[in-house]
Amino acid sequence: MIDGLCSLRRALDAGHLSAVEATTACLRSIEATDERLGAWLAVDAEGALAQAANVDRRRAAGDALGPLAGVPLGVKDIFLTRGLTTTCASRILEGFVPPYDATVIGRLRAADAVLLGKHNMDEFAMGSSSESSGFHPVRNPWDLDRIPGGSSGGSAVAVAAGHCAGALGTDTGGSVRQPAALCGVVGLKPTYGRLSRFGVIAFASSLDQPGPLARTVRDAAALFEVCAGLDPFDATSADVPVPTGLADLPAGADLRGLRLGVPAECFGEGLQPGVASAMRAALDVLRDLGAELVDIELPHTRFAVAAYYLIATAEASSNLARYDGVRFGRRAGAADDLHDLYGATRGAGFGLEVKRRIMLGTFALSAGYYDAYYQKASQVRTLISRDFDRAFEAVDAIVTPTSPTTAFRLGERVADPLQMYLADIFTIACNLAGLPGMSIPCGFDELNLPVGLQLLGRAFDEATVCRVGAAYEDATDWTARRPSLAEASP
Amino acid sequence: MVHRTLLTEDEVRRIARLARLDLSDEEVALLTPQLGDVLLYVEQLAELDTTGVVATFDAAPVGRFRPLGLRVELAPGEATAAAPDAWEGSFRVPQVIG
Repeated sequence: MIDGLCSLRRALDAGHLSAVEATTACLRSIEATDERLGAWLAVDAEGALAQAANVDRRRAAGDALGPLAGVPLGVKDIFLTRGLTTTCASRILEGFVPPYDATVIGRLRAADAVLLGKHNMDEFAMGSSSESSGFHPVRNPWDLDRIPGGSSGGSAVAVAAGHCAGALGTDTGGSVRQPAALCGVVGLKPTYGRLSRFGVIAFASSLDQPGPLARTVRDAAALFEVCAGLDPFDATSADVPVPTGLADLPAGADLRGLRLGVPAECFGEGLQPGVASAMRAALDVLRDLGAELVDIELPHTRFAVAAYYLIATAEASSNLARYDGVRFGRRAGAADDLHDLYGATRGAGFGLEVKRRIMLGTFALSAGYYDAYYQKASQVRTLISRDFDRAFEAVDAIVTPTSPTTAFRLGERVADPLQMYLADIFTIACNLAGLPGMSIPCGFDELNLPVGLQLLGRAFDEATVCRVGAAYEDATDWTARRPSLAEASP
Repeated sequence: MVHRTLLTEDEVRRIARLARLDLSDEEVALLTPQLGDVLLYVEQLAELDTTGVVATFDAAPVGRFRPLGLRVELAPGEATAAAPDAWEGSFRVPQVIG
């Protein structure tokens, strides 16, 4: 079984196993458990084995290899992959084969990673449970009756179940961090603009950000370092130097001299008791490591969910206008005119959650309501950003729970969209402000379901987030725990 | 902020038309109260005085928008390969002009 990205990379470099052997182990693991989990929408076994064999050949010949040489990965089905089906878990894109790679996919290929296939997700990344996939839901490996979180649920599950050494997801309102928390893995949402969005199917363009999911902080950092950096194909890509050495942070470091902000707003009512006790214990660990815990206030974050569901849906309603049944994807039967074709194609191709959000976004942007809804939400977004600016004058990073609850049961919130949206209450403000955030396993509740700790940093300061995360991880053993289903696989 | 605790089925149908989104009667019946609930929830934003607050429309902390440096070049056949109905390098659509 594959046990983390950095350890696998060392084993491959040392010749303890070949890329073909590592890839074969992953494919066997997928075969053994994915029928129950539903984490994958496409597995390219033949292509992956060919890439692995190529790495082994070049290694044997003494060629220079990329930093992820032979490491088997999966990516959320939101990334365009040349020659490999990309659906965004939507029926409207069923069978779509992109003619080019997303920039981050190109960077993974250039690093000689092995691409195993595409992960299941909420349709168009709209959801917090991976139940809105147009194909089939994803199940949590810690309890198959529960959701894995979303929208990058397939990616979190594939990493937790040992199907791959790491994954790339996207995070618009928590879609990397929340499933990472609910599945007991690490998820990093970099600063907006860090990783290119070129070739990433757009949901909400001012919020979307690709990010890695992996077993450990250093594993996630290794993927981050390969994928981050300026991309001329993405106009919002940031020209800021990418930190290096985060995958090799020294073991056992302390946190002396660091000030960690603890917002009162995130530790109040509504926190599940198991999450609250895990968080209290995590704060004790951080204090024991030498960090100074500082009470802070983020008074506008309680408005974040409301602002987000206007801004994100407004942007989505515009971005999803491109699915018209003309240039790609599926077209609904015979239509008399173009408007009928659009309406019928979109009505038949989109699932209910996508329709709900297109409707909400269209409403928020429509004449007469724009100022009261979209404009107002965008002003509140400024107030939320200012809260963080003020907080970061006093602290170096902020600690919160990633999710107010552990994984809930499949079907439990499907009929109540508002309750589903509130699952992202602690993750959304970070996207609105464009900041980096990370979820790290920090314990289990009374049902043995994982709890995640969230760390938020200053813009472009992923280094501090990783440093705190790695120190916490070294001082605890939560990331070493695996679901029994993964332990039993080959 | 406008207070709109009720959204009618007719309004939902009007928004669906704007969005070029065919909805069944069942979907309209389901979405009407759900969208109403969400709109009721977002009305909490009205509590905040945002007079004079500049709106944030993008999250890029630095750089803002730079001109696009490059574009992907696709051959005509490549661009239409994924189209549901293509003909000699063109996208075919229902007749627009009578």
